[in-house]
Amino acid sequence: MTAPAPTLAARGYAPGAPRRRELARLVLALAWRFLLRRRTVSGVRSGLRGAVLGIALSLVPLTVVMVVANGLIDGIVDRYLELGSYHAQVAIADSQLASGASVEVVAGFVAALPGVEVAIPERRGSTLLAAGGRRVVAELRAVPVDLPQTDRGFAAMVEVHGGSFDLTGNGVVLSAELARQLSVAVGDQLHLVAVPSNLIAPVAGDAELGAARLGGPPRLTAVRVQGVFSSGYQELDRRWAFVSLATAARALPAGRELIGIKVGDPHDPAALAAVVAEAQRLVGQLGRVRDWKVLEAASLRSFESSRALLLFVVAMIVVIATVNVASATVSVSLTRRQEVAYLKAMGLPPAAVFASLTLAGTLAGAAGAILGVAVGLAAAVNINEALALVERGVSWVAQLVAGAGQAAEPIALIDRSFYLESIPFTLPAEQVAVVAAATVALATLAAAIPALAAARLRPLAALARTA
Amino acid sequence: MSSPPPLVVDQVWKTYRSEAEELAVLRGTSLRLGAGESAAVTGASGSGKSTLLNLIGGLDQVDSGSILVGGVDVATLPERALAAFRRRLGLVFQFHHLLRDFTASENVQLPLLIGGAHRHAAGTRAAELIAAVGLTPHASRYPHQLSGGERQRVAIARALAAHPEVVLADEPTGNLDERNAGEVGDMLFGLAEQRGVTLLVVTHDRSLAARAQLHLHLEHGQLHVAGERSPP
Ligand SMILES: Nc1ncnc2c1ncn2[C@@H]1O[C@H](COP(=O)(O)OP(=O)(O)OP(=O)(O)O)[C@@H](O)[C@H]1O
Ligand SMILES: [Mg+2]
Repeated sequence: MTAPAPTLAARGYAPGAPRRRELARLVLALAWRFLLRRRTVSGVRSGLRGAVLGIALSLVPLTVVMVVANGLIDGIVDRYLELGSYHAQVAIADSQLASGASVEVVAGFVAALPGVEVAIPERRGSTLLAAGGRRVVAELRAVPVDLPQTDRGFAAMVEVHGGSFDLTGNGVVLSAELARQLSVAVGDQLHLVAVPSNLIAPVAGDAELGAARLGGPPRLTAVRVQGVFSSGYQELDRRWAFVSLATAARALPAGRELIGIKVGDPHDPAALAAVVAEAQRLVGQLGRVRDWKVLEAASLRSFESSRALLLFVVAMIVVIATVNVASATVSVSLTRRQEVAYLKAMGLPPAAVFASLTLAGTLAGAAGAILGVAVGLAAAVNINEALALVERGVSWVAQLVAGAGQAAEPIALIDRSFYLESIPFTLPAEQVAVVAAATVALATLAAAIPALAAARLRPLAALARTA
Repeated sequence: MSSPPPLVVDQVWKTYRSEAEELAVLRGTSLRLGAGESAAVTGASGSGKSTLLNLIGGLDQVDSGSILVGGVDVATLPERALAAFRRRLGLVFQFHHLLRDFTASENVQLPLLIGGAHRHAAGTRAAELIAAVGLTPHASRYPHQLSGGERQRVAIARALAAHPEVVLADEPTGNLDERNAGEVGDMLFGLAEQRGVTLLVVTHDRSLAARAQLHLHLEHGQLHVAGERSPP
């Protein structure tokens, strides 16, 4: 009774018949409105703007932590390898001390090696500093008097607060912490008290050892404070007192001898390894050459693990924020159920429904990531000012609580002795990019699940309920 | 070679099943409409009028029988082809079913864009249809800024936008006052006639039903001819 049905394709019912570019444009337009608009059939405020904010808010601390952790660790590592371990170090063997080999002469040969920029002869050892009634354990570092001139890396990391870095004559340059503990200032005199190194435990805090315990009269060397310095990282420099090699020859009979080596780029492992090998060939039995990564392995490991822990904690925040996207997309697909049904009744393919809702999630993720990273970077750039401001605020509140009468101690949110006094800004571009990409991916995934359900929705189920 | 009739409903059965009961709503319903013909279906509430339209619109599936739109059997279409099939129909519901976040003009463009039309072509076509329903001054208003009758006129423009072979309307005036119902009814039948579109309207409104060439009554799951008038 009816003519045989022609093929689907002949009637233009073939799937995929709509022009893809036009459909893609429509999908984008739908995603955009799902993201931004909030007039819905039920009148419920919808849209993914809340999700965008949630993502952005969680990315702000993540970005700050990333940038600050990066800056802190880079800054600390730089100080270790410019001031402490040097890029590489020749540790002169103990037996050589007695043989009379001069560390300065050997340093001259090391300095001539290819790839070596500076070679610094140094003698290190523990000593007591005595001023007035106070005695403090210090790590005496005897270096060439022209070190700040020859080693630019060293000079860059040392900030002289008072006087100058002048080791000539009987000059001593103290860390700010030592100067504080001894209550001395530039121009004051103090004494180096030679101590056999085995008597002083390296962990001894501010132990004041009486002369009586040393057995026999201690050898005293009078020195004058010529400068007070800080590296910005107290944990590293709090016990350092710099003197000239000549002063140490009198005051530090039992020091370790070493040669610090500076190269062009300490972060170029191949070049560094080549220099280490060359130097080892040169010094032979005289000493052992190691680079900063080996020398500071334990500290580096602990930095990296604390950075990893910090990032992990903050990454969890981001995951939670993207769950926001999931729930926001669920609510969008729920509140848009009828609209999705109308669109499907008009012939919008399920794939296009899925794509538009998922894309809305992607857009939410991208917008949140851009916003969060931007604000986070802005906060990180001004982290020192921001911290100071917060601390001033907290101190002010503390003052209020303490009452007008007494003066409350200014409050430091982070203990400056464990962190750099001023946090340098280094942009971990790669990490930031990875986090932003992961956020977008997570947001997309979070949106895809409810979007799939919406795509499968049978239009009749939603059409039956009317506005 | 003559093209197949736009709409053939042949011996369609549809039963709703729930745990408690079985409700045979359509029991061998048949219907045949030629190109440009119009029909109105009346019937008691719950007689199955909306069910019939939903089946024709590819929104629900028959138990048995066949529905051919332009010669294509809806029942045999897989899900993806169904979306393409729906684009060959225009739907008007009692409630306008416009998208809230799209202007009147954009709502009319939607079926065209879904069909892959270029946006300039869609814009031109929408403007023409908006003019045909007399809403040119309101083209860029959102649905909530329009009256009920105006929304329904937008819905009619939208149903006609993508050059459908068949327009299905379920109580298009059911939510309007008498004056608006008359205007919207005039517009629906007038435009369908003018454009040679086959029109099937479900309605309780006797005066609306009277405008159709064929007046059918749905009772006991079957369609009976209640009135006929020769085409003008
Ligand atoms: N999804 C469903 N599941 C079960 N029963 C249904 C379903 N949809 C409709 N029905 C029942 O089928 C019958 C026909 O419904 P339908 O909506 O087609 O009626 P109608 O003729 O459009 O009525 P009205 O004039 O009130 O709109 C009704 O009794 C209804 O309760
Ligand atoms: Mg009905």
